[in-house]
Amino acid sequence: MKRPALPPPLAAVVAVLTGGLALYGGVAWVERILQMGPISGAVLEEAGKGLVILAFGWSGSRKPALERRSTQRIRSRALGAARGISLGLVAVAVFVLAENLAYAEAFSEAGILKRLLWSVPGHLTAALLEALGALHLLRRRDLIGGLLAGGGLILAAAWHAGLNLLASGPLGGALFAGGSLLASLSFVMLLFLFLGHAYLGGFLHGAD
Amino acid sequence: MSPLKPLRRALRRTLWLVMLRRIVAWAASAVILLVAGSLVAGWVGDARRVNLSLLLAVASSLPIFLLWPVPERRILDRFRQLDEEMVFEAYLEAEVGPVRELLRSLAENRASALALATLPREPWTQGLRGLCLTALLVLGLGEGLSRLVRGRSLVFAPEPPVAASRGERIEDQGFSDFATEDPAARRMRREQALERAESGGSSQEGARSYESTGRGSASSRRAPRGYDEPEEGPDSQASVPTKPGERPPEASAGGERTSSTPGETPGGKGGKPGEGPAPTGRASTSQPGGESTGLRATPGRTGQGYDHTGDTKVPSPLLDYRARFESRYAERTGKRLAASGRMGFGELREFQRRYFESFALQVDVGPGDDPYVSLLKKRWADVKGVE
Repeated sequence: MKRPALPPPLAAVVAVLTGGLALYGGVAWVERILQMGPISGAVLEEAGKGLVILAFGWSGSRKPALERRSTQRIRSRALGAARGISLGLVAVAVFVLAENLAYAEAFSEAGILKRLLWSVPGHLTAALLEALGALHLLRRRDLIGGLLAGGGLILAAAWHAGLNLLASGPLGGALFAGGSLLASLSFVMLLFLFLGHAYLGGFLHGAD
Repeated sequence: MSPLKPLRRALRRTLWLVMLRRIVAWAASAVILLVAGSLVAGWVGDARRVNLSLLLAVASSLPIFLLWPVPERRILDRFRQLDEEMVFEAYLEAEVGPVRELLRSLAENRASALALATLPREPWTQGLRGLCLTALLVLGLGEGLSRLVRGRSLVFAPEPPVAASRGERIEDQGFSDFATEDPAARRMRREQALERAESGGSSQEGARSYESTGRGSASSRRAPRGYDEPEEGPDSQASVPTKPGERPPEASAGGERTSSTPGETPGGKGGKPGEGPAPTGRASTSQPGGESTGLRATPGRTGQGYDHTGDTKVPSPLLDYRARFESRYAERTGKRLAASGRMGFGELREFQRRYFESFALQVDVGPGDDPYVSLLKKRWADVKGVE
């Protein structure tokens, strides 16, 4: 089995910083121009995040496969997609960080730390749903893959819009605690699902 | 049995371990950044804001650590560690055909052995160990520096919690609304209440009309929120049913008195809280000097006049003002204002006077001038030494 080349770390750092900050700036600009509500804002953000994840994943998987054997080529492409999608997820995490800092600048009080429990896992759960869909699309490259990717995007937008709607109303302590717990558990569960599918599935592809 | 199931399980454990180590690396980096930030924040203008932003940024960066691509080399090394005879690798590399089937049976044997075997431990990397040691070192240094320079612990006594107690006291909750409310709306409500009180005539008539309109029902009766709700003052007093041992409604007769200056803010023409006759139904039972009385209800004397303001559940404005002053004092000086502190009583009075006094007392303000701008001009002139 050929050892895959490591990505140049500095280029990856620059790429995710650029992607995440550009995503934040673009989304914030459009939301301000169009005066979007909680649902339309969520749909816009998830569409942007899905695009970023797909773009990173596609760039990772389109590396020229030099392997002679077909099994090696497939495995190499799968691992490249996994690496690219992971970078896309990091770009989304940069987006979330930028959003949190913007909120901290606007509302400089300790209550803003609640976002760490509610908003961060909510954003990342939605991003992981999209990442799983994008992973299927980039591996299969067929209609079913497209449907799975679209389903991931719809699920992510619905999840995000639901959280936004809850946060728009009176958010009681029990509701906040329950929502935060659910979002955090979903994030951890989907993270390991993604890692298993993307990396172990990449290494052991075609064997089961 | 799939030949790769035990292998997959072992590799999944490796992924868990990778995530665990990343969390440790994040925690160590967070300690370094937060300690350095706390030390530097003292030199920056708004230390509290800097610390808050840094804390938020550091905490938000955990997903970046977790989601960064897992190095394939790490998985491959573990894979080869578990597969010394390279049976799995050969099986995975084989094209579909008889060779692959042969390798599959070998892989199954190897998998059953792997399921029973004790997996070799993965050692901690040198880099992670060094990062943890650096974090401990930075923490120790930061703590020592903070004790030396600032005279207080960095970890156990961070920046004074200025806003930590905000909202915990009923005074803050009640008068925070009052302070932030639109003055025009407050004025309009006050005028309506004055008109109602004047048109109502005596307090008894007012009480009758109050009850007849149903506003005195228990469901609609709510606790007053502050000075700005005089409709809860005289009317609510009149609506309280007379009980044995209570003074009759005529004795309280708060309607006329209340109508003089309800809702006046400190510094205004109507005087400050504690000056002049206190209106009924208010929480302000303060005496000059900032002492408050009657915050607790007296059994058997409920709902009558000045003595029974505890029943109204209206917080004392002076307590609120003191809390605000203490908060601002701690924010600006970094010290808590406590009764056991070194500050003398006169010094405290002087601080309170400077904080609450009216701008108009210090500068000559014309009819069209902004008092704040005039004060700024005067202070600028003082600084520059210009008459």
